[in-house]
Amino acid sequence: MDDIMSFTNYLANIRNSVVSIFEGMAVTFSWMLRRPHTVQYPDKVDKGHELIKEGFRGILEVDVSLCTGCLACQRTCPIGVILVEVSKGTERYITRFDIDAAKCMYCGLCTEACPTNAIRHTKEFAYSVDDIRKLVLHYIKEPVKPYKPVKDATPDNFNAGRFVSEIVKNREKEYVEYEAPSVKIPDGGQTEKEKN
Amino acid sequence: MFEISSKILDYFGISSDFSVIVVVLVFFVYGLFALTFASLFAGITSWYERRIAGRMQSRIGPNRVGYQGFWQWLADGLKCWFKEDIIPKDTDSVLFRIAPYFVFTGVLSTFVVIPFSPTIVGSDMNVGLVYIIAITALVVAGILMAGWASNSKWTLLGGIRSAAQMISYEIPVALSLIVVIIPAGTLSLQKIIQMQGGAPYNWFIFHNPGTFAAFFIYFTSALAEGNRTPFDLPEAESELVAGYNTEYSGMRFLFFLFAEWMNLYVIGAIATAVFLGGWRIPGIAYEVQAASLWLQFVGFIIFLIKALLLVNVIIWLRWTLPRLRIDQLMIMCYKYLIPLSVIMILLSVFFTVIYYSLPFLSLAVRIVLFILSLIVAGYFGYRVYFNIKYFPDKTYLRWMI
Repeated sequence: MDDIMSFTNYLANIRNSVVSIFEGMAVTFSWMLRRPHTVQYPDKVDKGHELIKEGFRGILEVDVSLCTGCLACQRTCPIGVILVEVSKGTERYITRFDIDAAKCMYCGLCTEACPTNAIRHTKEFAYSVDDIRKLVLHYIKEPVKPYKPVKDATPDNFNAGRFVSEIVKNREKEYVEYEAPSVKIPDGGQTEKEKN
Repeated sequence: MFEISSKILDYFGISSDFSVIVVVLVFFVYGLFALTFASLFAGITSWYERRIAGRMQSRIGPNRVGYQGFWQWLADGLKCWFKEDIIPKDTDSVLFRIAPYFVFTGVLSTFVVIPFSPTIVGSDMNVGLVYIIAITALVVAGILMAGWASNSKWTLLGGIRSAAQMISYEIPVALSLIVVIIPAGTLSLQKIIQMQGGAPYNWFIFHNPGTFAAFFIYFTSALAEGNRTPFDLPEAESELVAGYNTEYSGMRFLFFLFAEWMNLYVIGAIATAVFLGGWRIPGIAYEVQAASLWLQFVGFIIFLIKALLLVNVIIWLRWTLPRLRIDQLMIMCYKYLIPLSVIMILLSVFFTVIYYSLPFLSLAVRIVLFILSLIVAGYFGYRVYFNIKYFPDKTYLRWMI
């Protein structure tokens, strides 16, 4: 505020305040007439998925039929989220592909390293469970042969999110699936099986 | 209420020995009615304001308790009711306990003179407006008490700010009411309403340019006196945590909020009664309306609609304007509102004198002012349409979650 206030300044101040309040109220009123942008989260989660933009880094998923078993993602991951095991021998098999979603920080480095786009982000973001160990997602249930890259291949039926949404939908059955580690009895050399 | 109690006395033929009991009973019932009305209004407004705030900020607002979250206010009330009433160590515990009731009583006492219809009014005092200005001083005392007794720097600063603000803004409130008192020639709210007509151009707001400006001055300063945004410096969250009610919890805290929301209705009702024609129905004479119970009810509804529209505007302003700084607040009061309201008093005197000799001018000025305000309202509608048309939804980011 000016110390020396001329009369024109005084009138201009009044005019400015009236005009700005008038315009500001028009803006807020126009917003009151529109639909809210936010969505009530747990009630309308399907609608929410449509609103999520492309490139959203959600939970990681693996299309095992595309995986070459090159271990590039495992090596790139800065915090060891991914664990891939490939059997050695004349016939190579991928025997394990685990992603620890609890550790993942969604940096997206693994998706860039993957040569066949087998590992990718989905739009899935809600996957809380009651035990953190259940957040280890097992993508391989039985040994799979690695994918052999084809020259000039075009992705067919590329539908990101189909594996994870399957998992989330069948949360009770599949997502919860986790094997308790075999615990050794500390004092004796016996396991429970041997006792019986 | 005296009229109603005398009617009851006549109807039942009660002897004058028991008349005191009947009168006290009638006043007691009216007091309960006013308390219930004010409390329900405060509660429902607390939910309604949050809904409106949500929509203006492009979100949903409380919608979990009941239909559209309507019972949210009851849930909040119950929550506060069951909370522990914490009184911090080293407080002035008597003042600390008493302060919320001072604020509550100060606002509720204005319901004595606020009319609902020609006969439903606590007491039609001949000094009604002076009573309102005087009794709301209790609020200042209560807030200062709360600020002092809490023994905390935030509350003390909030209380002192509040006292400075409310005492300063009582001046423009009183001055802008004088602008109407001059043509009305009375301080009684019922008589001021009687002197206005039902049709909008007969209201005191369109009486002359002075009263037209005085309405806005009154509205602004009443907001500041009631500690509403953009003048809610006593409870400026960014600076003072919560101002004078920082240390309060449970029902005592709720009493402050009750007073704040009740005050919305008080502001709206006084503006309605003084400037906007109160309970008058267009085309019906006062005597006819006062005699008929049915028309009184219609008048009650009309009064309520006008007051609630103003309450809507107050809520709308809250979510539009940012908070003023304390020096800006004082500059606005002492450099703008008070000089302007003095000028409006002079204008009002001038026009009132002129209307005596030139009665036709009165109608001309009223109609011109009415048409002008209609044009402004139309332009406002155009601006709203413009904002919707040129800033459509899809241009904004739709961030989820």
